[in-house]
Amino acid sequence: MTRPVPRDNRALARIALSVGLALLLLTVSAISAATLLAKASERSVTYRFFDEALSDLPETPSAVVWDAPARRLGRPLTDADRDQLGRTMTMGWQALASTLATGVTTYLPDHFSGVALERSELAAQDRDARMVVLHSRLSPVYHHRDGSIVQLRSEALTVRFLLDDAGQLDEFRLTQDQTLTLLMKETKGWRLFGHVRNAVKALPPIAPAAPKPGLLVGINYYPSASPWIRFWPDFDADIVARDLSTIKGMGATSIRIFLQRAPFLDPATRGKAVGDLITLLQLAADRDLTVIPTLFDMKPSYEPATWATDVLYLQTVLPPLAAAPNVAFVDLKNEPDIDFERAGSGTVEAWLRTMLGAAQLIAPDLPYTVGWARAASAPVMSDALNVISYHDYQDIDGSRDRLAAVRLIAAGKPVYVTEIGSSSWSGLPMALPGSNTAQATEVENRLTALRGADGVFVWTLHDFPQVDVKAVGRSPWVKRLQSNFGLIAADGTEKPIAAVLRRAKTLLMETTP
Amino acid sequence: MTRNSDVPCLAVFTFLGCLGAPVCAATESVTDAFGIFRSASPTEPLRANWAGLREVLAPMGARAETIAPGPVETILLQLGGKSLSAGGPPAESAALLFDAAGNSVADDTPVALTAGTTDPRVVATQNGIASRLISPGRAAGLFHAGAASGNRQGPRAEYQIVSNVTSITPQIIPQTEPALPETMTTLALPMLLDRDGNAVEDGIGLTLLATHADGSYSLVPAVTTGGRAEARILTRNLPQQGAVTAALTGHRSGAQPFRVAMLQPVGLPEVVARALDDAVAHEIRIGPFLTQAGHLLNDGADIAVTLTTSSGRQLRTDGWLADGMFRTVQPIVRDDFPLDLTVTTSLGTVSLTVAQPGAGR
Repeated sequence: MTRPVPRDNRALARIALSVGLALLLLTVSAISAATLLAKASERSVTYRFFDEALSDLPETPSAVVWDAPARRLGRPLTDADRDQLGRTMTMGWQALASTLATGVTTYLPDHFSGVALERSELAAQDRDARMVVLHSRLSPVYHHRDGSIVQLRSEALTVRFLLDDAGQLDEFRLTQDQTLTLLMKETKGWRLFGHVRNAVKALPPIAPAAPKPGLLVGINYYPSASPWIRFWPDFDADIVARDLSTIKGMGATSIRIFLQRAPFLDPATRGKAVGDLITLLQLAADRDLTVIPTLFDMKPSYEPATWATDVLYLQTVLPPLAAAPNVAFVDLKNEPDIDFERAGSGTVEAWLRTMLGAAQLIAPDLPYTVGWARAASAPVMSDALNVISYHDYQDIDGSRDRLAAVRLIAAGKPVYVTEIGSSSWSGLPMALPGSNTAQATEVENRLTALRGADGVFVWTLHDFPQVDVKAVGRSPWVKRLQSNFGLIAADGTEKPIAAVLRRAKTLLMETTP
Repeated sequence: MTRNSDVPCLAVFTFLGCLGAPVCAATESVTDAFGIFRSASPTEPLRANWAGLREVLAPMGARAETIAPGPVETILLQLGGKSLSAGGPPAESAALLFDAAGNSVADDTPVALTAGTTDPRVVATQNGIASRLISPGRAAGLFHAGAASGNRQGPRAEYQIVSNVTSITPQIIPQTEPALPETMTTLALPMLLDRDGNAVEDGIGLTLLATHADGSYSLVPAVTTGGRAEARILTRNLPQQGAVTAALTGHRSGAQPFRVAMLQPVGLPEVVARALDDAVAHEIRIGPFLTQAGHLLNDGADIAVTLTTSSGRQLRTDGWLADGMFRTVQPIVRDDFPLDLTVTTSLGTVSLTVAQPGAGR
């Protein structure tokens, strides 16, 4: 049975249909325009040869250090010998790590021969297993007088892990192995001929490090003109000093900064980058600001063959951080859970646990966290971290519950929300109805919802005239949104959100149960 | 192959219980020098034979096991340096001992190392290697080295001890008479023996340096054969007096006189003058210059000619021979005849006369 529709209702239905169609058309047009713009903004370059399109691989840095031989060798090792042998060991273990990850054994004979080649090829048959030799302390124990045979005793920081069928981390073991490696100088250079593990040295016990006490109200910081990968190459101490004074003036007690991998690894830029990092830490200390350095920002790959180089990065950045009194805690990686699907959650977790273990060996007194993109990721390795942190960009209504859930997981460890924020950009009045006022209101509401957190950090100090497409992608919508999360507008004026930040401590504390 | 789980140094190993550990598989897994694998892996039976420490990670805890290597199965022998010379620095003979699974054998495994005429010596392995130094002795020659342990013997290694070339100062056999000109002359060295009487091996390079009276020199390579060395030098256009030395690995012989005999002419060259049709001049052709060696004086040999006309005017010219002849055009007329010529070549100086164009001697 059908009920007759009144005439005026039919008219209303037609109007609603027309409005709906118009909105649909507008949305489709906007999305199409955005897609076309994103396509048009992509740079297209035609290369004649593959090698023109590929960037030069930097020379693999040596992941070994040398100790003096325990007893006199029949033939002393020269500096050139040590250089060649160090590279052979580094590249050999990288090749094995890569082989275990891919199952491709083609390149093993470039680094292994004899018994070691047979064994590494056999090990590669276990497709769920991984091993990475991260760093070795070598001491020669034998060198044939004709220079053709060397035996090296090694204390090697080594990680082994197993992945289950779903790619989850199933077993994880980080150890200091005491090994003996036999190398032969063959027609094409040194090859690992034999390798035996004689002992596992216990890793030193890690004291549970806690962050500096007190509620942190912080700001994620990049300079306005040099965000993301331009931060360290374009570091300007005067600009940073001015910005830190501004941050202090907004009532913040802490900043969260990002240390990309490349400038701290490249021998050409490493010294300057470390010097600039020390300068920044001192400038922050002068203003009584604590610092949360976020490591490995924009790390492109979790391939095990790169992990030894990652440890070298830690060896570069952690000593100055450990020496600074105002580092509250260290964020090992920004939003690694975003990479779970692409790189495999088990591999990402193994990498995080490995870097955590290596970091704790290098700087045991620093507290460590991982800046999860979602609160739901917080259970991952919560047992091992000193501090639990996550980012809260999801719906405000759920903020309180998410914090409560993370608090439960943290089991008494401090919990920080290291990114909250809102863009003031208004793209489409209905779809993206941003404004400076709406931004301030949303951040205030979120701060209120996050009462009880040990600290909250707003993203970010500045609006950016140019955002890094490597960080945010090429979509014009996203680029515009990302450009307008700041507390300070591109013209240098404070946005209303700055006033909210000035009240943040009060907001967080007066509502703390 | 033995599996030893109660070795005395277990105390230094880490026993981390899997209970309560952050990431721990529900099934047993094993770590070894080349990675980690599940106990049920098809690779386990082979990997179980790999000597060294392995950890068995089980849900109830982890335990360390030390797999000891088995008895000697394979022996590799490496002997060097690459160039052993009689009475020179010692060489090293190193035996690498492996069990059936490819593990380096246990420490203190006795190995008998033999080398050349030296007495066999029993050496204990350390980290799978047994090594001894071998003095090359004073006799050059081909020798053999070997290694044996238990009932296993490695493939024997050949090594050669060569003469101690650095102890040799070369000498040059003196000439008994001057070298003939325009010939390949041999400069010979006596038997090259080192300080212990070992003859040098074939193929050792020497350099002979002949310095000549006019300040020029000749560099002549030589290679040893049968313990001797010879160098051949072409005695063409060489001054009659000189000296020669030989150099071997930095040692240089004393200078030995080097004489070249004067080239002798056979007869006098003819000279012919011919008036040119289109110039007030005469072409003068001198030659052939014949030598006692039975051939013409070589192409390019220097020649200087002085012409004296009937009126006493003198013209001088010089040049080089071609096909045993010298040709020159001079501004002389019929009235200048007879011409007297003084011709100087490496055969000496001769005087010639041309009575009239078309003929002369």
